[in-house]
Amino acid sequence: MLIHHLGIVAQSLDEALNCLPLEKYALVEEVYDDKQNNILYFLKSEDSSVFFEIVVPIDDNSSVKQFSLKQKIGLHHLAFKSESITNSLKYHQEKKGNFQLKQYEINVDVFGGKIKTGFVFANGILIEYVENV
Amino acid sequence: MINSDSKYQFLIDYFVEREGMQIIEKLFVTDLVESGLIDSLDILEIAMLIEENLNVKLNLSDDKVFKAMRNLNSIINLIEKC
Repeated sequence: MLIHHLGIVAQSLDEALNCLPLEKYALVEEVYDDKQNNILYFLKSEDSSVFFEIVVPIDDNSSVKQFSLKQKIGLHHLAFKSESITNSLKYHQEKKGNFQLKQYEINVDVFGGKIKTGFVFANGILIEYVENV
Repeated sequence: MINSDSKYQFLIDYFVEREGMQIIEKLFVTDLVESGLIDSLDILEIAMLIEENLNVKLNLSDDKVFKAMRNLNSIINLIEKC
């Protein structure tokens, strides 16, 4: 199982860069996520295969608005690469304390174009599975 | 209102532990997310508590269910329907 990216919620990209060992040139893509009302900044340093996804809320309808107000900046989710979201989510289905959340599709060029993404809350940890469509 | 011997008392306890006794009056009338009392991760934690205490697993992939988790009355209604 490969770690795909780390999802970090922040109130701005600059705030995130102020806390992480990354420079602005590590920014490889910026995506407007109109389903969750967030801006997603994808960053990757040359010596790492793991991306950082900085999630910044756009407005009060953002899926991470309250999280960002409370935490300012914080680790939000851990994302794994998946060959099949359906199978990955099935793994969690019957487990106690595991809750499947919404799935949706979004285009992220650095991830190879359109991806399908599915979230699971597993006993306190938010896990995302990412499948290339 | 919930009686102290109610099967839903654990929900009240969850909020009182976080916010203090003064929260009780607001719980049934306030949008808990809009008022900043809880965020989406707290909703997931509440769903986990419900499963632990009542053995009811809410379907959080359903938008309507997720939205109903914003108020204690609607949370209880959801559980009653399961």
